[in-house]
Amino acid sequence: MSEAVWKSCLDRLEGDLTPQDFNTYIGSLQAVVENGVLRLFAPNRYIRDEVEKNFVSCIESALERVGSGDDEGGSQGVERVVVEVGNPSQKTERPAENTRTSVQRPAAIDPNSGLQATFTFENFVTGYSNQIASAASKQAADNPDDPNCNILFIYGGVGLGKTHLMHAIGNHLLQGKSSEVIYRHSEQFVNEMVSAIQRKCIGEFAKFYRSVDALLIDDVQFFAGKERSQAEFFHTLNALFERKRLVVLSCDRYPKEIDGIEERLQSRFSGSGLPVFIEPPDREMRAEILYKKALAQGIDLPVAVQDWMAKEVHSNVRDLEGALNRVIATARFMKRELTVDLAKEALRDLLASQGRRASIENIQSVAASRLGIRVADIKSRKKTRPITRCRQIAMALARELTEHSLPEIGDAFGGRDHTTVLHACRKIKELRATDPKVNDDYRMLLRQLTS
Amino acid sequence: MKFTIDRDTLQKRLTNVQGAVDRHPQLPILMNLLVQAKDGTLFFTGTDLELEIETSVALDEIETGSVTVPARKFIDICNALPEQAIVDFNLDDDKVVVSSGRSRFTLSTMDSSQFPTVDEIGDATSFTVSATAFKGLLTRTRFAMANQDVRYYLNGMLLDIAPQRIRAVATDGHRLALSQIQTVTGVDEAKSVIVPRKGIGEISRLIGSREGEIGIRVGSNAIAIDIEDIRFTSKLIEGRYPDYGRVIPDASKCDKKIKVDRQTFRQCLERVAVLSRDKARAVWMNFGSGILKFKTEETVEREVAEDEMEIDYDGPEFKIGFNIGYILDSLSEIQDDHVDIFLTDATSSCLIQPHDDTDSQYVVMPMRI
Amino acid sequence: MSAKNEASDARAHGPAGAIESMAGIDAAQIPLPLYLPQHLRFENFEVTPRSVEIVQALKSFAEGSSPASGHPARLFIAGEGGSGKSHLSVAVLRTAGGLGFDAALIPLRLWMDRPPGMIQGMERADLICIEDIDAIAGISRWEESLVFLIEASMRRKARLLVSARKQPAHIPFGLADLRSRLNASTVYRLPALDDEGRARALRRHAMDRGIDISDEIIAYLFARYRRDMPSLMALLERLDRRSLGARRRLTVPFVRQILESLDEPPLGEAMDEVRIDSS
Repeated sequence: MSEAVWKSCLDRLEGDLTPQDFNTYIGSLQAVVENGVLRLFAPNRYIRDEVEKNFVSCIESALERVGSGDDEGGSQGVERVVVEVGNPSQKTERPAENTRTSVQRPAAIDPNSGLQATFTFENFVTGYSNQIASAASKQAADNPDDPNCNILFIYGGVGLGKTHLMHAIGNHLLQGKSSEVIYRHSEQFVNEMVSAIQRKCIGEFAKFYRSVDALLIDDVQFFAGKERSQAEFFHTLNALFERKRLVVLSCDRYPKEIDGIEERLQSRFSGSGLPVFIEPPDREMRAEILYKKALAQGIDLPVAVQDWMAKEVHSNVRDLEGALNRVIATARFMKRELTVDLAKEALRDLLASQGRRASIENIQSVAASRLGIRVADIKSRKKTRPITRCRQIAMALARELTEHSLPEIGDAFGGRDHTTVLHACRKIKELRATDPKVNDDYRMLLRQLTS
Repeated sequence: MKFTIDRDTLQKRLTNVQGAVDRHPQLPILMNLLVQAKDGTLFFTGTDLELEIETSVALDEIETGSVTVPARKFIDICNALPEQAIVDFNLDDDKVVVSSGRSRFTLSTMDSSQFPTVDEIGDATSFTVSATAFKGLLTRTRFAMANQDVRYYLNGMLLDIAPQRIRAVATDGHRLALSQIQTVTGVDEAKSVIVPRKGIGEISRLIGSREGEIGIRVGSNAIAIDIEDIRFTSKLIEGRYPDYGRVIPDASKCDKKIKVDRQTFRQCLERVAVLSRDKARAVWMNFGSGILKFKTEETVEREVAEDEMEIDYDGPEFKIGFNIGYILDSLSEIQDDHVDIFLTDATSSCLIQPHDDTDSQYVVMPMRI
Repeated sequence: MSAKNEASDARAHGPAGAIESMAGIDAAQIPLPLYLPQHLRFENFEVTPRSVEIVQALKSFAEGSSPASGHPARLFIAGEGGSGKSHLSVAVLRTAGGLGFDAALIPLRLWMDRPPGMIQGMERADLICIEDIDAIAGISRWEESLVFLIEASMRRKARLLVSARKQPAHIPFGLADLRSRLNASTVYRLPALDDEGRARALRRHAMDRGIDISDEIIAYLFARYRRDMPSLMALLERLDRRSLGARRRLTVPFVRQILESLDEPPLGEAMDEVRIDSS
C-alpha cells in the first residue's frame, strides 16, 4: 500500500526533524503514491512553500532510507516527490448528519446541509433574556412562507445561543416540507464563493444558493470588508426574497452598527427583516441551562451545584458550557459525586482572578501590612526582632512563591547576600515547626498571596 | 570429559577467546573460560557479560562434558608449551589436569552451569559481507569513538545498515568519522545500531587478515558476527545516537574548498606536532593565497614550531586552530594522494575527505581562538 | 592592499614571524553541535498530583476516546512558560499520529508575524493543536482566522487542543467570538513545577542527554540561578556542551566555573535566543 511507504517515511522523519517542524509541516501533509510519484498535499500554499523550500530533501533522504531498490515493502520505486495544495482526491469527505441532497451541486459547494441535529428547540432554554428571539424563531420555523417575515435577523453578544436557534429552525424545517435547507457560517459562504470563482463556476454557485428552500447564515458581521462577497450575498438575499423563501441571519450587533458592510445590505438586514435581540441569561436561566446541558450528557446536576455555578459564571452560555464540562470531567476523573465542593475544586484555578505567581514586591507589602511593619523597614538594615522576623518570613515566601534566584531575592531586600536569604529560609522552616505563631503568620500570608 | 589436541590449534582458539575475558570481572567465574565438548566438537567460550566470543574445533576422539577453567592460567600454560606439543585435557572430579610430554598442570575449576551466556539474539536481520571490506570500514572510523565518556552512546560505533550499503559513524563530541561501503545486505529496511567500543576492537582483531565472507546478524539488543570458526556476540548500546547528518557540513555550502597533497600536509603536521605536546595539542593553520602555514607553541618554555606548504587556494586569508591529533588521525585513514578540505569560518566544523570521494568523511571541530 | 599581496609579503618573510604570537590564547576545543532527537512523551512528563488530571485528560483526548464517555473533544491548557505545555502537545500529537490520526500543530508564537493563511485548510486534520494562542491576541486577522478554524473543525468533528499562558478569560483578545469559543472548551490550568519537580525534570532531561546531574549540582543551581524550566533547560544545554567540549564530568566546581563565564556571549551556541523567547 502506498500509504505504508509514507508511514515508514514519517517514522524516519520524526527522528530527523525537531518535534516542532515535524508536527507543524510534515504533520499537516496528506500523501498518495501514484506511478512512482509521492504526491504530498498541503492544506495551503504557505505550507506547500515551506515544505518545498525546507523539507523536500529530508523527505527524499528518509525515503531513500526506507529502502530503495527493494521491491517489497520498500519505497516501491518512488522516484519523485511533489508537493501541491489540496486534498488527495480519493479521500472522501466525512459525511455529516442530515444529508439530504436533491439538486446537483457544483464542486465548490459543500455537499452537506451544515445542520447539526443536536441543536433543537426542545433543548433550547428560554427565559426572559431570549423569549422574543425564541418565539420569533419558532414562528419562522412553523411558517417559513410567511410573507411578513422572510428575513429573521437574530443579534446579540457572543455565546448566547444564536447558533443554537438557527440550527433549531433548520432542523424543524427539515421535518416539514422544506428539503433544501442550508446552514453556513459566513466565512464558509465566502470560501465557497472564492473557490467557485477559481473553478470558474460562480454561475452555478449563484444558481444553487438562489434556489434553496431556506438559507441560514451565521455571524454575518464577518462579511465586513469583503465587497465581492457582499454583492453576491445581496443578490442571493434578493432572489430568495422574491421567491418568498426563509432567510435567517445572525450577527453580534444591530445591522446598522456593522462597519464595513454596504448600506443596501444593512437595510436588507433590518428594513425587510425582523431584527430580534438576545440578551445575556439571568441567574435563574443560567442554572437551567446548566441543568439541561448536563442532562444532555446523562447527568442530573444537583440544584446546589446549578445555583453555585450560575452565581460564579455569568458571562454567556459558552462559558457555562466550558465550566460545566470541566466540572463533569473532574468528577469523572476523581470518581466523585457532583457537589458544590467538587465544583469549587474543579473551577478554583479558572475562577481565580489572577494567576498564583506573586511578585517579591507584592509579598513584601502584604507581609509588612499584615505583620504591622513598614516595607521600608524590611529593606533596611534594622535588626529588631519583629522587623527581622517579618523580613525572614517575606524572604521565605519569595523563595516559595517566585522563581527568583537567592541572589535576586537578596537584592530585592535591600541588597542582601544570598546566604542571608538561605539562612532566612532555614530559620523560618525551623521556627514553623516550633513556634505556632510564626507558622500561623506564614500560612495566613501564603493563603492570602495565592488565593 | 577428556580430549587431546595439538598445541597450535589450541593456542589459536584460546587467543581468539581471550579478548572477551576481563582482567577485573564483575563475577569470579568470568575469570574462567567455558570448555564444552559435544557431538565431536570442542567449544571455548569467554565473556565479560557485554560481549561473548566462542570458537570451536572438531576433534576425532572426544569425551562429552563441560567445565570452566581459569582463562589466564590456561592460556599461559598453552603459550609456554613447545610448538609441536600434544596436549591432553582431562577433567578429574573438580580438577582439570592439563598434561603434555612430561609437563603436568592441575587447575581448579568452577561449575559450568554457573557460566553466564549472552542471551540468544532473537529476531535478527542477517546478511554476509566481505571480511576485508567490513574491517576497513571499522578501521577508517573507530579512532573517533569516545573512551569512557559519560554519554554512553559516544563510547561505541553506529552501524547504519541499508539495503545497498553499510555506514559506520563514530564521534567523541570533538570530531566525527563516517565511512560507508557499497554492499548488498538485503535488509528490508534500514537499521541502525550502536556497537560498544570494546566490541568494535574485538571484531577488528578477530577478522585480522582473514579474507572471504563473514556473517552478520543484527537483533534488537545484540549483534552477532560469524568469522570462520568464531562466533562473536556483543550487546548493543541502547538509546539514541546523535543525528550525524546535521553535523557534517554541506560541502557545497562551504566557501573554502582546498585540495592539498596528503603526504606533504601530513608531514608538515607531524613536524610541528613535535612542539604541541600540551594537553590541548593546538596547531594554528593560516590559509593564505597559495600557501598554508602551520604553527605550534609549547606553552611553558615558549618554544615555537612553524612550517608551511604550497596549496591551491586564492581566497581571503584565514586562520583556524585545531587539535593536531584529530587532523592527523583522519589523515592516517585516507589512502588517496589528495584530500579535500572544506571550511566556512574559524568556529565552524571542518570537513576532510579523500579527493572526489564521499564514502569517507571526517569532521573536526576547531579550537576557539 | 589586497589580501593576496599581504599574503605574498608574508611569504617573503619566511616562516618566522609569519603568524602572530599565540601567547595567552585560551585554546578551548569547540564541541560538535551534536543533536539528540528529543523524545517528548507522556511517559517522560513530570506528573505531579496537581497535574495528574490534566495529563489523563490529554491522553484520552489524544487516543480519541469518544466525547460520549465524558472525554471532551476540545481542550484548553493554560500554563506559564516552562510548565510543560509544549512537551504535552508533542506527546498528544505523537500519540494521535501513532494511532493513525492526522494530527497537525499550529505554533502561533512562531507564526504570529506570518499571514493567517498559514492555517487555511488545517481543519481537515483529525486533531489540531493550536499552541500559544495568546501570542496573536489583538491581531484581528489572526483572531478572525482562528474563529473560522475552530468553527470549521467543529463542523468536521475534529479534536482541538489549544494552549496559552493564561486562560481564555484573561487573554486580551479583540474578538469576543474567539474568547467565548475557547471558553466553551474544557479548560485546565497546568501548574508550574515546584523545586522538587523541577529537580526531577532537570535530572530526567540530563539523563536523556546521557549526562548525570548530581543532587549537589542541583542544589547549587537552585540557589544561584533562575529556577524556571526554560532557563534551566537552556542552562542544561550549555552545561552539556561545555562538558562535551572540555571532556569533563559535571561537578560543582566545573558548574560554578561555567556559570561565572556565562556573562560572555558563548560561541557558536544558539541558546540565547531560546532563553529570551521563553522567559
